[in-house]
Amino acid sequence: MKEHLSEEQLNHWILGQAESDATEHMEACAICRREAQKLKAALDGFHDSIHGMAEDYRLRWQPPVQPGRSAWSQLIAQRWAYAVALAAILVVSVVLLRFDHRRVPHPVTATLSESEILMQIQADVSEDVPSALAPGELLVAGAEEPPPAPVNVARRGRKSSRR
Amino acid sequence: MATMLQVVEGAIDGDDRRAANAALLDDFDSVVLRHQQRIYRVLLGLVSDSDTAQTLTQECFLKAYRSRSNYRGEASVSTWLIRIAINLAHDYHRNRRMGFWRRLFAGDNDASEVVARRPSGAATPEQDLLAKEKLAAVWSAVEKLSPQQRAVFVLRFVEQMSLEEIAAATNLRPGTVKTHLFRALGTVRKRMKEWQVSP
Repeated sequence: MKEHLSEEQLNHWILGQAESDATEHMEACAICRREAQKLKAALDGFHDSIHGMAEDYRLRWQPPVQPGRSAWSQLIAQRWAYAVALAAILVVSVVLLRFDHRRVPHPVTATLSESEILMQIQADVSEDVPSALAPGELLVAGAEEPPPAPVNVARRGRKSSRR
Repeated sequence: MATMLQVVEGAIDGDDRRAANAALLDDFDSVVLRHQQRIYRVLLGLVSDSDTAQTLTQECFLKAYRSRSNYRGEASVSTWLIRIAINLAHDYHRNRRMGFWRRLFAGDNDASEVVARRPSGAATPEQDLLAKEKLAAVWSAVEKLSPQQRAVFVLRFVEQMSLEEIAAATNLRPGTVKTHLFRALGTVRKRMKEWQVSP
């Protein structure tokens, strides 16, 4: 039998890159096989310990709400959401109000010339006059007729004071 | 358009693969769910402390999320995340303040928690103790490795990655990866022999 495997050959065997003669030697030599298996068992123990801890971590782990965002930034984001919603409500209500206002029928006003407007006003005024304005109407009407004889108020007052 | 399955299986190449890899980041929740355990394992192997590994895992995904626009899709998402995790672990070890507290309080105790919590499956208490001591010896050897040796060792023997995958994740050449791996194995075997002589 040849000499035992060198450290490098043993490393290759551990990494699964052993050459054929090294593999043959490993099958034949119990000492090298035991040496390699000891090291492999130690490495497997290291592997299993880390995987066991990782499994514990997986069970403990709570998913973050969102990666990269603190509670504060989320609060700010919520505030923005509220502000946008409020603005949307305002815009919609303004649009609806304007739409409703347009639906109220407006009197159709024809475009009139200035003289026609004056004629219309005069006609309106001359139609019905409240009773309180009746003297005014008389005055307006009287402008076309001769004015009545004026009453001498001053003389009457003198007579009454003499009594 | 490539499907996620094609991307994962590596059935597509070139620009399609890059675009599809980049598209995977759109659903970041799925990325976290898919890779968090693996990233935690890598970080636990690199820092030997479960709480620190947990913190760094979260930091890794936060960093990935913030720099997702820089991801070109040349490497797989998994490789990209492992690269970030390794850099975070290196930063953690380089950090002087953390190093001071680590030296003051921890020493070899970092791995003891991992070893203590590991059920050995041994039949008797003596065998259980022996198994735990053996595991502690491996952890102790791993902690003595250089950062690069340790990263290569963890990716190979914890994540079962190929030399090419390790090279992509560590930005090293496959030959260099192999050298680091052989040296790491040598250190571990030496430590195991010491433990066998004086357990």
